Amino acid sequence: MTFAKLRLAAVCVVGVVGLSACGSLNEQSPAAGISQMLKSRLTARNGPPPPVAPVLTREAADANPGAFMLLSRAGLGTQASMVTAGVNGSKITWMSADQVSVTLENGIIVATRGFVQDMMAADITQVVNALIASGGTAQRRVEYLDGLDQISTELLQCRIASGGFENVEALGKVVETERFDEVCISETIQYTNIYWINDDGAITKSRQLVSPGVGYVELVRP
Amino acid sequence: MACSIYRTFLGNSVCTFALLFASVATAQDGPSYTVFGTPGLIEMPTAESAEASDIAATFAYSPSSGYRTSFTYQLTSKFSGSFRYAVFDMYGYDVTDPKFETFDRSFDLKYRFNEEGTYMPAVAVGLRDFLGTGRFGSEYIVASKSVGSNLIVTGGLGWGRMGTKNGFDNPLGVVSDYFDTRPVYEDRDQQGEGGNGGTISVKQFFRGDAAVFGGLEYQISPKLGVKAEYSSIAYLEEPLTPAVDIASPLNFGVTYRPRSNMELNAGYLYGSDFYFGITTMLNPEKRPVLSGLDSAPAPLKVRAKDALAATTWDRTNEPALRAALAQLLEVEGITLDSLEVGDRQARVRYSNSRYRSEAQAIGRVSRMMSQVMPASVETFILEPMRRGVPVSATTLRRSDLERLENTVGAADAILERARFDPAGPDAGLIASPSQRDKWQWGIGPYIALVLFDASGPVKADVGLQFDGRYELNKNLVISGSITQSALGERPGGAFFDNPNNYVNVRTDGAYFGRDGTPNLQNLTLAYYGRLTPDIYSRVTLGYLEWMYGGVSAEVLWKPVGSRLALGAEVNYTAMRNRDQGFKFDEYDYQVATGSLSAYYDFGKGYQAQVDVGRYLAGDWGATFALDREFQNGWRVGGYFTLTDMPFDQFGEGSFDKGIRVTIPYDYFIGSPSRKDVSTTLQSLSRDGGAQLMVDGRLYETVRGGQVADLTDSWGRFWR
Repeated sequence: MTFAKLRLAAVCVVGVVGLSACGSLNEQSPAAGISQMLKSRLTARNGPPPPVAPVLTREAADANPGAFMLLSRAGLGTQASMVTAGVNGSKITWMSADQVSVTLENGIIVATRGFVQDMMAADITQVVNALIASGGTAQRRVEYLDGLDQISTELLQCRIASGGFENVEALGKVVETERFDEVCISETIQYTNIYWINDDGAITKSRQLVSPGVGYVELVRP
Repeated sequence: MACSIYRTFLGNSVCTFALLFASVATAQDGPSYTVFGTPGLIEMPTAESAEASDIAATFAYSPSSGYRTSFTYQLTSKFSGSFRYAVFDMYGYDVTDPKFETFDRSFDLKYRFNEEGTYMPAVAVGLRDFLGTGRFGSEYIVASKSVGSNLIVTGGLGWGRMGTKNGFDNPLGVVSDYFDTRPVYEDRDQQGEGGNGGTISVKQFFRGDAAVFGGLEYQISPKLGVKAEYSSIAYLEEPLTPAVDIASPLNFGVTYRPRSNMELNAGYLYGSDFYFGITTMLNPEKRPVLSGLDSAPAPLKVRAKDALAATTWDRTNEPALRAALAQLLEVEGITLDSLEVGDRQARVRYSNSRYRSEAQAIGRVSRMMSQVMPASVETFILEPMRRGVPVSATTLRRSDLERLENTVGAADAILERARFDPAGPDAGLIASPSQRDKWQWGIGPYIALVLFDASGPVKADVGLQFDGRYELNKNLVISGSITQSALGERPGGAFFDNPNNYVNVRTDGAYFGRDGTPNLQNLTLAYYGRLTPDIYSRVTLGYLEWMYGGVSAEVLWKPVGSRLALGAEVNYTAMRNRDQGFKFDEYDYQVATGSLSAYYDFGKGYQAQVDVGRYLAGDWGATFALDREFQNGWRVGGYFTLTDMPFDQFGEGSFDKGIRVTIPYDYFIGSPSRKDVSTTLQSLSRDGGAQLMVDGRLYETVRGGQVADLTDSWGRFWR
């Protein structure tokens, strides 16, 4: 046994006292995973908040118009800047440095990945039409991935109405917008998405539901 | 008495129990639990059922009736089964000191006929301790009706032990005289010790005196409830009957649910005694981490419209393309094995070491392929490998992927358009230089439960375990593991005598690995191959398991889309020395074993297996197994083995049988993982029907990448 290996073994034995496991074969071992889980729980309670992706400045946003999207999760108080990772027709997938992605169609979430309960897909054609018409009703079909790895579909009835004109702040810039509230109801859930739409008809800011298990996220186009 | 020597390494059993008891808020507020670990009153059942797929683990104690540890599994919304381990005193034994010398294993079944109606109560029929020595053997019919939203009233009729308090002539006597008297359970000549148990006591069912029982449950608040019952179990002073002093048939209890998946019980039993119990509930269908914590995949790279016309591509880029794909797949924990890229089609072979769901890996690989494949390549063929062997070929059209990504119904639509075939030939594929280290190792702690060794009924063994693995090539692997117990040298020997005319092929397990030196758990050279597109092969050579070494060879016929698979296995093994070193001279026992196996996937998550062959003690017989498998990787099942070893030679339990549970690691941890923990509750490790424990049998190796399993978790394709 070489010296390096000996030392590695010593480190592992020390680790064992703390009930951890090491080595390439143990990367996914229950012991390692459980200690990791406990560690993350402890740090969540006591430690500093998880690091935020590189902070996006106004200058950087102005220099690259349309290149960024800001994502914050309600309640968590964290903000991540996302960049375009893929474009498929009218659907743009934005991804953050911590490997979470949100796919938008005309600014409305149609899919997410990397959340605890992902929206796998959504048909929001009628919602877009209602927004163009400055209000109305729409049917939304949304798919989630459930605990049995099956796709579950939620059919929602939604009512979209203007909430008047509001100024919103987007990364230090104040934008004049018209606010639209979308109230959606199904047999099992009810929620309200809010869209702030600028003079060009684009969504500057929005608060949208990802899934019942995740809750709302806020998206801002800087 | 149920006695078993039970031992696993890697702490699997401990892990499983820990996981079962780990508090993950998944189960709903269902009915409360009895001290027998079944939905009901205190000792008596009600007609209530838990939610389908609920698993409840109950530990209950009272000074006079001892310890009862039970697991109840609600197989369907109406049908449930329970397994129980009880430690108590029996009449006819010296109960002064030490107390609780009887270790008894029992099984229950319960079927509820109907949902409760406006006026009609729910009605259920059940068997308690129907398989075995029948220390608690009872049958019952019970009706429960809720009155208002907080009160449930229950009344029932019991037979057997439940027909002993104020019993009366069996009303079924009207139907036939047959029911008038309950025959004594026929013990099969075990030194008058009370039989071997383990067989179904059909002859007793619903016979002899009957008695009524009943009770009330009242829910004071969502968390707090009270219950009271009139029990029809008198615990009469008879031989081989649980010894409990009964001053009153009235029992009272309080239930408290601090969380929806945990229930605490306490109360006053038998007019003389207190009891307490704790039940934790878990539902495999309700994954606490919902979709899982996998990081987002790279989105599909859609080809530009003008590039679609291309019918060929510039081959000078090929080496760069290979390197790029290998690198991208490595990001996903997937190792590129080999690749064939034509003008219009690309075929890729890979092994996925991260995702439990091979369907998810297929989704990820195809998106990575879209990043680098030339625009003219329209067809993707994906061949996942297991242990170096390709197990299927999934053909996807790139334009379908582009069209369906992030659309409603995409999972079903791509499944419909996908084609599944046997993996193609090796010809045409160009191997990628291996990305993985050939040498892998791990060192970590282990915990093992040792049941019924000489020192007591339950003992924990802790220590260090070292695992090593060296890949000679992708089909040929050397692997081994060594443990060192922290407890040092310990006396060997079993808790119970195991007299029979056979070699103690498993019952001597309690002598193995007790000398305090490092124990070689296994050290093998294993080869996996594919003989024809549908026939797989395995040869494993060396120290196959903790008690046996030798050679094991297996073939399996498993077409990609077939529900049926057939296999054959032949082993020639010798019993290892007790010090678990390299030698075989202590027992000088060699045996040829083997089996013919049929596997059938019934769909809807039911999987059956039948093995017919020769077992370690040289006995001939068959093993029957049925497992309920959930799409998220959970399995709950049972098996039994009948061989030509006579029941009285087998000893306690009469024949080998058990219940087994497998929990996928990602269910609890959330992060993707291919690992799981399994445990078996059984009377295993006796000498009849004992099988060789060889790692990596073909059926489990191959099936994960084939159509049925891919379809089960296809919802993860786009994840």
